[in-house]
Amino acid sequence: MKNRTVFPTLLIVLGAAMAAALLPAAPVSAAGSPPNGVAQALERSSLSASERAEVAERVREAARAGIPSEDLEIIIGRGLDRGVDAATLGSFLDTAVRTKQQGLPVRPVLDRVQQGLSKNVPPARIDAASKRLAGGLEKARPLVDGLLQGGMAPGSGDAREAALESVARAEEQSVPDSVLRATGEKVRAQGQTLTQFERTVRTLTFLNEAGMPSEAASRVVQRGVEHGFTERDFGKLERNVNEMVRQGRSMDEIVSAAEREIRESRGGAPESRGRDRTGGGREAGGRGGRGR
Amino acid sequence: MNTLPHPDEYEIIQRCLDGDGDAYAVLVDRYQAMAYTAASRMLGDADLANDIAQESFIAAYSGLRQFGFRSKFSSWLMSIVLNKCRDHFRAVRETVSVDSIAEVRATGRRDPEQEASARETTDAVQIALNRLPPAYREIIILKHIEELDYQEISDILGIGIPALKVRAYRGRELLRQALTGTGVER
Amino acid sequence: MKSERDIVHRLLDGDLPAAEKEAIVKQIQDDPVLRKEFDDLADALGVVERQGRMRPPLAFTASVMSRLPRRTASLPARVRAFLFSSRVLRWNMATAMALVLLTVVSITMIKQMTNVNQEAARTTAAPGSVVETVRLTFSDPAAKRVAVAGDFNKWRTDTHLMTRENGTWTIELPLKPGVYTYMFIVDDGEWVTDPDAESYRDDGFGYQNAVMKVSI
Repeated sequence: MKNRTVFPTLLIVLGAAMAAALLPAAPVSAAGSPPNGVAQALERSSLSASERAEVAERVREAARAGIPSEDLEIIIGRGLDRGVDAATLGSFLDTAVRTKQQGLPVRPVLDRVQQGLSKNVPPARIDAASKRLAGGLEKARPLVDGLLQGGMAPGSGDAREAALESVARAEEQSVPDSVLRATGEKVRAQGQTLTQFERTVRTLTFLNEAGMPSEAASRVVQRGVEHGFTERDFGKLERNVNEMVRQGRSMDEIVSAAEREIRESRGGAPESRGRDRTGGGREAGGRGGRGR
Repeated sequence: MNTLPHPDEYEIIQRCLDGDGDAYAVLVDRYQAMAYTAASRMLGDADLANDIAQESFIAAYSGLRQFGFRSKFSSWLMSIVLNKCRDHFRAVRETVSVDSIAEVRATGRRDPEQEASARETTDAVQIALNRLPPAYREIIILKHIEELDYQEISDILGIGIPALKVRAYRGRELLRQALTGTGVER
Repeated sequence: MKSERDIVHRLLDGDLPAAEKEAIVKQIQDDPVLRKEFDDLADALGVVERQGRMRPPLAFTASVMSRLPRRTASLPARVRAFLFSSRVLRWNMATAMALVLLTVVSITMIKQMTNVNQEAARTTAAPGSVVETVRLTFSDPAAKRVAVAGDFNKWRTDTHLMTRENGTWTIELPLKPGVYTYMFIVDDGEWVTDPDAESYRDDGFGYQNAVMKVSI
């Protein structure tokens, strides 16, 4: 008998309490204190009092430098859960802060740390990989800014950040500097934008990772640029190359097929897409409804 | 890493990746004592250690594709075992612990009742280890039971060697204190 | 004082080069305080070291091998019965309304917790910008749980779970235009690259992330 009133009343009280808990979840935290989630994670951890203070100070510093609190909460929370020590956590934050302070995009560095922690990569390795990326972003700057200063239009709001990241990743995959510069020149000669350059760099990196030698990849990509390849065209090129790799074709075959595909295209006009019959059936199913 | 993995390790892992799951049994045979000992010394509970050691092998098998030979298989397996032990300790700390023995082991605080019952097994080493906070227990196990060098321990724990030495030195002193009064014949 | 005791530990580390080791051994032997320190610690460590390794139960290997994934995938009948047997539920309006309130509040909380952060990034756009729905599929009939983690959700492994339809796992992701990287996480934590992805990219740790491009 009593359950009929007690139970719903309790539920309503619980609902009200949860609603009340929603209010303080607004993003602003008191200046000078680390984000809520960080404080709680430190509390739960097995760090000593001095280590906690050290981490909290680094977090405050990072927040002041403009690193978003959600990212800090994730890195510290996930890191402590996985037993990362205070010094390494500090190193993660340090890399991000320095990247941000140099006016370079920090999102790729934060993403790499968060990803490494999620994937249970050993912390020392995460540290090395994030520093490597930060260094790559720095090295990419002269090339990207050089293109912009030489008159290349950005093409979209985040073109510079995207290009810096893609060039950094390309160098990480050992795409030679000379190839990147030559591609930049080609894009500029065609009067194309930095966004389009960024797209070609991504394709270059993809082809390189797929095993294509740099000179061949460079040729293929530059030919695509000459033919006015769009984002979609490069995407299709990547898918076709991927399919051929999966089929076990030799790299020579793949390079010829790629070059042929570019030659036969009319700068990405719709008619040319229907002609593809070499993609092993995946392209045929790709139109309409798959949503990808 | 300055010590080489076992010569056939690459081959065995390749075979597993190619679909010959039975090949994995060689690795399970080879490293089960290592995994079980580490878990047992960390947790102070043989049954739980058995579970965690087995789960670690299973997790390693699942993740074999991504293992990528970036370290020795044994180092990687050991880091999985220790991670699972840490997860267990965290779970124990977060629940209202009815099992005070588990809580003590999770935090390393002394509990006379638990020690009395553990003493019945005359495992003085376990009594002493249970008194160490988990981070120190780890380093003692890796350095003095597994007898690994600092480089390898660094690969497993992801901590720099100088920090590891600080931890090892302190851990030894804590161990020495902990062994006093367990009635062990030295 | 501290640095003196340290040499005892360095000797115990067992990795000293011969010349240095000789010097340290002599230093310790000549100093009764250090000598005692060393003996005490060495004795303590000796107790531990003498224990050596422990032997797991005899059926260890057999047990592990039988539990490896993709072997026998049949669920215990008990679990199936627990989940799918018919049950009768009695309810009243007050409880129903309270549950609705709770559900609404929970959904709002969850949405707040998975909000994209304020920093300007490729995924953040001005209010009123277009969001596309992307559908990911993954075929694995034997899996019990598949989640997606990627840069769009900061690699959380428990917020985007896929649902199963006849052995194929799917999920719909509302995303603003941009390039995203992601991977699937199967069951207990196996990270798997989407075999049907548009493109791939090394993640800096040797894993292959899948890449998807969302455009209008």
